[in-house]
Amino acid sequence: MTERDGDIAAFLDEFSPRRHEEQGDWDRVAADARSDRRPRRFLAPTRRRRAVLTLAIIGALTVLAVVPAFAVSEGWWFLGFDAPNPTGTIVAVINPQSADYWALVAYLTDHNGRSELCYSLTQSNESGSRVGGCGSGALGEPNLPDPGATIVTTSGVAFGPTTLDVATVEAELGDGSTVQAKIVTFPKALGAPLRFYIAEFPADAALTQIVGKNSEGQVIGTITVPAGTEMHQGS
Amino acid sequence: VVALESAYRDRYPDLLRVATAITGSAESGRDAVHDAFVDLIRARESYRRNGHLEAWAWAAVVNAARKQARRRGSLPLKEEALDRPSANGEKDGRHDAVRAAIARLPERQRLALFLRYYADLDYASIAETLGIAPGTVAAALHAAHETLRQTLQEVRKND
Repeated sequence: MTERDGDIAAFLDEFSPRRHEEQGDWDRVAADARSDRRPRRFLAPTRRRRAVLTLAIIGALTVLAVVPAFAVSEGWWFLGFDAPNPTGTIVAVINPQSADYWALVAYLTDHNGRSELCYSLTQSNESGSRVGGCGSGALGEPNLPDPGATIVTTSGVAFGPTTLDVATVEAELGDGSTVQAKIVTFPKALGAPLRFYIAEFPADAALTQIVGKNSEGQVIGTITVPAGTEMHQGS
Repeated sequence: VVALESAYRDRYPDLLRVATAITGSAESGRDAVHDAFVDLIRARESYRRNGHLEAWAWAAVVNAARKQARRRGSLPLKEEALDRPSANGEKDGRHDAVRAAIARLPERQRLALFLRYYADLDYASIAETLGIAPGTVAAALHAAHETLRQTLQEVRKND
């Protein structure tokens, strides 16, 4: 065993002194562990995060939280951040064309024994163009697109998971026009039979509805975006 | 849970000290220790019986502290971090130089240093906590010692 260096030890003592008087609060630890009170703080927005986020989440079925975007590396920022640990394979679908760059990254995780889907969409390295989160409502729902798992950004993008029977997704805007969404099917390695849709629309347009149809054109899922949906702007 | 409670109560000042050194603030250090033990209690069923519970707990605290440090949006050990005045209440050049040297250490060396000096863990426990080989711990500590000794010597020369 290498001896402890006396000089270094003296400095380190000064650097971070031992707080003998502090004994912690085990009762609070135990209480928080028993309850689900403590939020998943890795997702809690801080002032810095709020400053770079420009997005809104609609729906209430899923506990879907927002992940900030300052750990930037194209589509992989989501993994660089202190996101939940994957329980399976991390999958990514990337369109590398610079004019229309986007990257979807997804994986399954476990939260208190419940499987959750984490996913993010990156469209560029600019602030506000990278959003993502984790939620359990995205899994096992028969009538997707799942409103609780849909993320709508103020820069004019709505995206979220759908079941495999959703073949097309349309975003309906306030002026009556519709926008066809991209549909992305993830590799089976994800471990969940899901597709994702990405609908882009003018940032100043009002998104009113997202409609999922099967391969025969029948509507099998609809998300109605409530008027006046709160949009979380940077602070 | 009883064993975790015992580890928490017995080692709290050391846990807090390590977490504070990693996060750069006592407040974040307290949060890190708290979060780590909440998670440990919740995840106790996944504890591997062939591992050492104390190393498992230290690993959780180190990871929680690293998360807190990232959450702060800055490297730990910055000037404002430890809200610790120097002994005479004035800016201490020696202190600043060594503090900067610690901040510049590669993370593995820094963590090994904190666990060795603040937690008094042996190499095997540090290795288990950080998920590295004991030989790597020895090399990391040796390198950290060399860097800090050099810094201390330079500071003394300039005094």
